[in-house]
Amino acid sequence: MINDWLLVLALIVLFLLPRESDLFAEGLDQEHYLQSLIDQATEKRLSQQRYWHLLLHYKKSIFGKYESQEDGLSFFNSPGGKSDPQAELLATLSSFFKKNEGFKKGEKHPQCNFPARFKWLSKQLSFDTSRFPKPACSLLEGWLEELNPRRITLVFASYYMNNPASMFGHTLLRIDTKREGPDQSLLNYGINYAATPDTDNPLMYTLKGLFGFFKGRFSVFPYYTKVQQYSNIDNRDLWEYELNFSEDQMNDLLLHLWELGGNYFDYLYFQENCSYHLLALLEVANPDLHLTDSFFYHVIPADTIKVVTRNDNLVVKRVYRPSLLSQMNNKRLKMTPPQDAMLQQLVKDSSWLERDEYRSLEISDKVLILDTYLDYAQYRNMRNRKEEKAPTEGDRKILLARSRLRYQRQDQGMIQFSTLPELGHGSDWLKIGVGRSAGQTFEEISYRPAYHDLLAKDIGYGKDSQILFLDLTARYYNDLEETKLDRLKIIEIISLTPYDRLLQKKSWRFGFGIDSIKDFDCHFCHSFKTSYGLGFSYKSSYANPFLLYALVDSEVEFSKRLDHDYRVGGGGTIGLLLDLTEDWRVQILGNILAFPLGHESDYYKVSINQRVALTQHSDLRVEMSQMEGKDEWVLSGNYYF
Amino acid sequence: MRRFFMMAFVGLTLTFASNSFAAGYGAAGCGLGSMVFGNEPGIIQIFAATTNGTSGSQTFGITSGTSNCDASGIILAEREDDLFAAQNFDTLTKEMAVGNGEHLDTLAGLLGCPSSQRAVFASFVQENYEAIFTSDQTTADEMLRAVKDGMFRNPVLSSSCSL
Repeated sequence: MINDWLLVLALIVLFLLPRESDLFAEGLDQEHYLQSLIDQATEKRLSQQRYWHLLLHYKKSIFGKYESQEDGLSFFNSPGGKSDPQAELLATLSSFFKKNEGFKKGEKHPQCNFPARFKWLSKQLSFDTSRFPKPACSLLEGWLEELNPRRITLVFASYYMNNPASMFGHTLLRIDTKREGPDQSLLNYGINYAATPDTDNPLMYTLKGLFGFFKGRFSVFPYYTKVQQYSNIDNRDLWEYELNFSEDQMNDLLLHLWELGGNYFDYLYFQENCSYHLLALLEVANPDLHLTDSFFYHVIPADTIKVVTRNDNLVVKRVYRPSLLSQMNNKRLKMTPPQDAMLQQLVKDSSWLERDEYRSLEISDKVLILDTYLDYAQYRNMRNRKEEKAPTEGDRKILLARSRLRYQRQDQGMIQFSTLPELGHGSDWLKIGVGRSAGQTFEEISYRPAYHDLLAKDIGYGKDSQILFLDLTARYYNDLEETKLDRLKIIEIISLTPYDRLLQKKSWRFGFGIDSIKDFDCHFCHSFKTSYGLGFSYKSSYANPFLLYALVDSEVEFSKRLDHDYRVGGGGTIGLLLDLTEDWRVQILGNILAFPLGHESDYYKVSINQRVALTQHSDLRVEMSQMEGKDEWVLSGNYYF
Repeated sequence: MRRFFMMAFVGLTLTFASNSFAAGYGAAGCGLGSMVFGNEPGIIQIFAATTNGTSGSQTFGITSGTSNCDASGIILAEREDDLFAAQNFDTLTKEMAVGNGEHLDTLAGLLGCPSSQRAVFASFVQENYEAIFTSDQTTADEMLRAVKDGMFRNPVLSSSCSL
């Protein structure tokens, strides 16, 4: 009896099992279907469409050939996919028919790996999905469900002068999910594109960054970690630009991000950097946008903000997120001088809380002083501490005292310590001038691709700072009838941060490049020069248009025209920056340098430079100087673009 | 009785949570960063998180199966409040004393308090500051445990927040 039942069962199982010929027929059917899709795709010339090029990151080279910027080979289905849009399209179509099984651990079916390509091709060729294998893309689905975008926000982290890698600013995207509640934006996910550095050596870092030896990858993590890093530790204000995308467009962006996630681009500090590939992502979301086209050889994060804000209606809203120090400084601006003095006392000694001077204060005054102190203490702790520690005994005393006040103050009317990056002048610069140097008249031309100098208007840029990169100046001397290189500043950085008793920030400068030797007559000879200066700046208050600074300098020069081919020395600089009006800035500068090593020499130089802005992107300048009794002046027109 | 059980349950899960902290990963989240820096607590976790951000090991699609995240770099829901409290410990320490702030509101949301109750939550932590930070050795998970314990005992918050 049992045997009979077993026999019946076995027959049923056999009947239900697909027969060899069925499998074969299915394979044949898929092959026919694939062929018809390939025919259609070829006929419709899909591989020549812009969207396919966006998805595969193809760019046309100057010789008219396509090449994808993506450098991870698993991004392509065809071995020649990097440079052959058509081959890649056909290989992608056929990969979607791969059998569901046979994938190694960690490997995914192409349909799960390339969901944006699947979606677009499906739309173009009206896929009959019942004729495709149906892999389970559970990882992708879970990811999409968690990110669940309601809005997309482009975030600009403003300048952080003390770290050369951060000086140009940084951009990232934030996916705002459908999580409930108005105050939950910290829990959203940030999407970052960054290089994977494998060296701490600053020179190697710079060289590898410039020439594309780092791999750049996208990553996703909670927005609060970025706020922590930028706002609290690096002290950079954040600007958040909410972008106008439809739900479907945001979905396309995520599907494509998924495709990029497991791959990489060679990271090029000036071209394919943190900002460039974010723009490419936005183009995939909305192919009507042409964001990457306007960049030819360098992309500066602030420029990407300029491009995005120039597109009508793309930016819905701007939000300023002040850094921890900006929050603190906002409170300090509300203080009277005696209150500020009390804050300083509290910083020195927490037992000041027990004095009558504190006890007799109004509660709102106590709150203002303690809240300011707590911002300061948090900043100090986060920067200095290497390990997690509860507050120190002194800080704890103040925290407890603050909590006992049972008072919640609202910060109103926040002053913005940084300005919208899109308002800044163009980052390319062209200067045309005429002048006279030691009796010789000349015409002068300068060009630099980046970025901002001390005389320029600082709306959109870090205040009282200068970053020049590849700043080249040539002069045509009329009597000589010759063009001479005057200088090439490979990099020059000046950071003038007003000294503050609480924060005690120093000012500094660094320069590296080729300069003309002018302190003695060597007929326009050049030296290779590097200099470094450290000192202090003074400004009586935030709004004061008057900044005074003093630096101690050191300098090394190499040149065949110097005795022993070099000189090493030091000296000092005193400078003054003064904004007479919004458009008129004056700089007065005095330098003294003495070189006891190598070519023994010394010189002084006094300069007065003035800039009058004509528009946001153009100005007129008069630069006058005297060096060892020799006068020089230059009158120039300058254009930023 | 029911409240007692709930408290015991919360206490137990938090103990497990802090054990898992000690078991090899810190608060930075997922990926290489937290593996490199291990479970060294505190500020180093920020750098661990930063490493995550720049190293790209946290990119989605990489199956690591470790460190509080699923393989696509998404934080596991049940670890979210622990991670948030540990990552933002300094900020929360201040905002709890001051009695307002964005991080405090975010924590309230993570602990299931609706927007209308955020101010109540903020006053509650300010008033109970000494009970939450009992010593200068209080850690992030001790802080979080004390907050949750206190919320269960608080008639308004225990009924309005879905802990």
